[in-house]
Amino acid sequence: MNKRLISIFLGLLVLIIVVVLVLDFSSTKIENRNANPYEFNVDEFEKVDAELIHYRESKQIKLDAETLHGIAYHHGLIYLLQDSLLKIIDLDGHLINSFELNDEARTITVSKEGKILIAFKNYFDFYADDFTLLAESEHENDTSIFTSIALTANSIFVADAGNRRVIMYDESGKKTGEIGGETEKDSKHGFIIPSAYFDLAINNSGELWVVNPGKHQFQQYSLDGRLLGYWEKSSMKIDGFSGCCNPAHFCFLPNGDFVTSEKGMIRIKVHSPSGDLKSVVAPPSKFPEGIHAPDMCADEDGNIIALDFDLKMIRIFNLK
Amino acid sequence: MEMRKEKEISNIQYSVLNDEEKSSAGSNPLTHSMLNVHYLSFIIFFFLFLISITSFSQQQRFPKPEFDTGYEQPNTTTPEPRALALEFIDVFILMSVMALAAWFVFKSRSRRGILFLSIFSLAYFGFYREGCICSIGSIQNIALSFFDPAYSVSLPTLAFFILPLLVTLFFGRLFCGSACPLGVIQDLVIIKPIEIPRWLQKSLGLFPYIYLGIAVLYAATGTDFIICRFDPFVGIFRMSAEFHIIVLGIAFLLIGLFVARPYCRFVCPYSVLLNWVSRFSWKHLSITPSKCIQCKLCTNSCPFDAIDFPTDEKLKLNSKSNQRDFALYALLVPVWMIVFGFAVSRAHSFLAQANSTVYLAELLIEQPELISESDNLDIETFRSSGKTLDQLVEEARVIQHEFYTGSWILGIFLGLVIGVLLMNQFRFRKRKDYEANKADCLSCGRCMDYCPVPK
Amino acid sequence: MSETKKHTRRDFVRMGARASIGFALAGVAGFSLVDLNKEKYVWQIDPFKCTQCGRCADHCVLKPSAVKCVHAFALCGYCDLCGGYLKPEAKERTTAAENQLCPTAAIQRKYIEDPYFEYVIDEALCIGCAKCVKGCGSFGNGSLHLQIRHDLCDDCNECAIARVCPSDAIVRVSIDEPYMIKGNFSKDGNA
Repeated sequence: MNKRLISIFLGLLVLIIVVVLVLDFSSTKIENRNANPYEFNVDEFEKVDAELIHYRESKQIKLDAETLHGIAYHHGLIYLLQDSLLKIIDLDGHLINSFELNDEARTITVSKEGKILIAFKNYFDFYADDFTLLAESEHENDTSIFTSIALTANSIFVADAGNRRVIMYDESGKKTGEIGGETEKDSKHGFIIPSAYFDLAINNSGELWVVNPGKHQFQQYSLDGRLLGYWEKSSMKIDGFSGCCNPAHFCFLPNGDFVTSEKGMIRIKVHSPSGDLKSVVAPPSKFPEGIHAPDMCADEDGNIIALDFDLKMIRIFNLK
Repeated sequence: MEMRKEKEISNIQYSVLNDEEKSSAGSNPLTHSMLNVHYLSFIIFFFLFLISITSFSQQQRFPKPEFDTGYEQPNTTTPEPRALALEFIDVFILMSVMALAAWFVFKSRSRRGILFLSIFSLAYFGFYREGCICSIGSIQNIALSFFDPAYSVSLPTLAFFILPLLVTLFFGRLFCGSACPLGVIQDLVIIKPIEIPRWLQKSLGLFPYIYLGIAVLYAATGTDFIICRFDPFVGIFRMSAEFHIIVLGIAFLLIGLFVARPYCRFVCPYSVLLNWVSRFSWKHLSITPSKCIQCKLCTNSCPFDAIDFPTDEKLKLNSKSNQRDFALYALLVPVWMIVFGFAVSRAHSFLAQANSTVYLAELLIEQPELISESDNLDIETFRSSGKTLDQLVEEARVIQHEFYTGSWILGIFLGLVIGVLLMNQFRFRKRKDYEANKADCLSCGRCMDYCPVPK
Repeated sequence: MSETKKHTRRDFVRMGARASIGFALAGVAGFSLVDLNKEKYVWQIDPFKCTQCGRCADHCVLKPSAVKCVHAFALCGYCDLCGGYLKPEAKERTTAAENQLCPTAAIQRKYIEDPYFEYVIDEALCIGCAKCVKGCGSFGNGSLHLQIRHDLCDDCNECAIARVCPSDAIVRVSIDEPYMIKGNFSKDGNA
């Protein structure tokens, strides 16, 4: 090998080294980085036929809050649990009244008569419409996590996600019974609650409905705790409920339809009492990725008031 | 630090609030709050800060299902990292290798001993320890620990940085010849070293200074550890790396067939430090065990061109003008420093582009529409992080300012290096014998075998 | 005579230089010792910062990556319908390959009792792509998450994944507590 050949060879190698360095440096430049080849993709399920969407977002009320806990509607007013406050605002967002609470509230319900139920981690407070305290319930144990509360004429039902049961109370806050949630007689398990999402509500006809989120199921119970019936819809597609723990929240329209909200792939929909999809209120495209399922309530006209925990605002959806 | 303080305050506020709660519990749970009272909202803010934390941990500890079949929940396994004690053993081995090397170089004068010792180092520090941590890379850890208060080096890392330098101060670059796995792997592939022209050697020899300067700049600003990133042999040691790093390693080894130890001589940033420390070493390898007999047998023995020949008597005649030039160039050194400092500081924003925060900020300032439109992963991550563009730009500004200061220092350093190198062109030292160049000699011991003088 | 004098002068200068280098080294060492890290850092993924970008699978110096999915069983809902195990479009809730989300089928599903299933990661198969982490996080409890496995990790001086991580989720942690398993600590790092 002569010297010249070696020099050319060396020159080539130096060139290779320089090219490698430049390529390596430029490949880590942000715009040259690859997309995620292992992306978890649910795009096809996030697309919703526009004809199914019967609602239009008509208003957003921005909230100046650190954390939001729950929302309820009564007579033109929104009852909002925000930080350590109960705020009462009108539909334009004007503050009507504000109260400070002594504990971290978790969920709220307002009855037809305007009585207020505020649940905390393992107890609840019962207020009259003039905000005087009627009763404070017995405290449950530490494993309890109250996630929802509802009332009929003379009993109060609380969903306890931590212990996977519904607890019944009388109006004085005394515990009167429990619902374990047996769906079939030979089945030992009751409510399947993988995480702290467990909602219940009572419709205008006084029927108690409870979500069994592990089964994507709505179950109707008699007021003494017997299972009367159920419906379930399990699907990533728009007509069902996806993932685990869904629907995360629900409420009733005045006509008895179910308004449901899901986590994971955030979407708000209306289902008929038999379970069929009636319309879509808000498709996943309305929400950023990775946020919590909104809590909801509905007004007398069937408009839906949703509480967006992450964007920190109230979003009102009107029928088109 | 600021954050921590705030948290402490919030804890205090929380406990105060708690006491109030206890005293007022039961009496009037719903109290009218006056919204315009500022201090109250202040307390609430801190209170909420805490709530957000506690509510999170509550969600974390959601009770698991009760199993009837006696199923026992397994624990998530957590295999331990390599024990810290083993790192100290590494330090001990490094020290022992250098001690043995000193013995081979100064006492037994055995090239064979050094060769076997160096193969052991390659096997242990290279293939067994897989190249991390090495003394070359430790420069960056030291630099980062000096500038980032949140980072501090561990004792083994410090030892890997300091010990080879200390040994060099006493005995020359024993580390390069016997302990450094990167050096040894190149040493073993030298088959036909060619002589590189002096001018090329000198100019290529500048690169390690630049590399060292940039590596320290990037490490100090927390941008990158480029020495580790472009370590050409780590892929070979691990037998697993990205393809282009393997290519890099093979390219260096192929060059190493003809240019002995190319990485050590023309790239290695640690060699800059060793080179300068070695110039003042207390003892150093000598080619001959007693008196040089000018036999010239050793002249071709060094593949690294690190043997200085006896000086030409004729040059002595010019020594007067030499001294004048030397003085002139010595006076020029500060000029170089300022010129280079200025020049490099002009390039600070270019240098700062290697920092991903700076780069992202610049990209988004230039194309703000990307923030909402781009499906690029990094931009998407920024979007969902909730950070505003202003915050990002502010962060980038701070880093860029560090780069401005850093690049001035880098420029001044490079100016000094070039000034001193130019100045040294005119330094004249009389030499009567064939001697190892203390700065460049890697103490590999090859020349010792060629010397016919008996011990 | 003058020769020896010159030599002593040079020796003196050398002595001085040697001493100053010695002092400089001692200075660096001293400065580092003041703020010495008694333990040592190792790399770990903060699961609360991780955005499941998938780069852990491809950018580790090891092939396959030293990043694996781990299961924080304490957080798992033991669901039949597991967002981390089943593909979103899965027709059935079975172990059939076409229903599995994991590209390497590294998650094993075991029936415990009605209606609960246990999910275990086979780390030999896991490539650390975080696909299941995303599925579990968005549709489930987030019990699946990525961690650097220290029996595999080469403990690079600078983690090659950290360099490309878009959310700075790869952090240096003390060798004392080398893992950040979800459930053992919360978002702000407290237990």
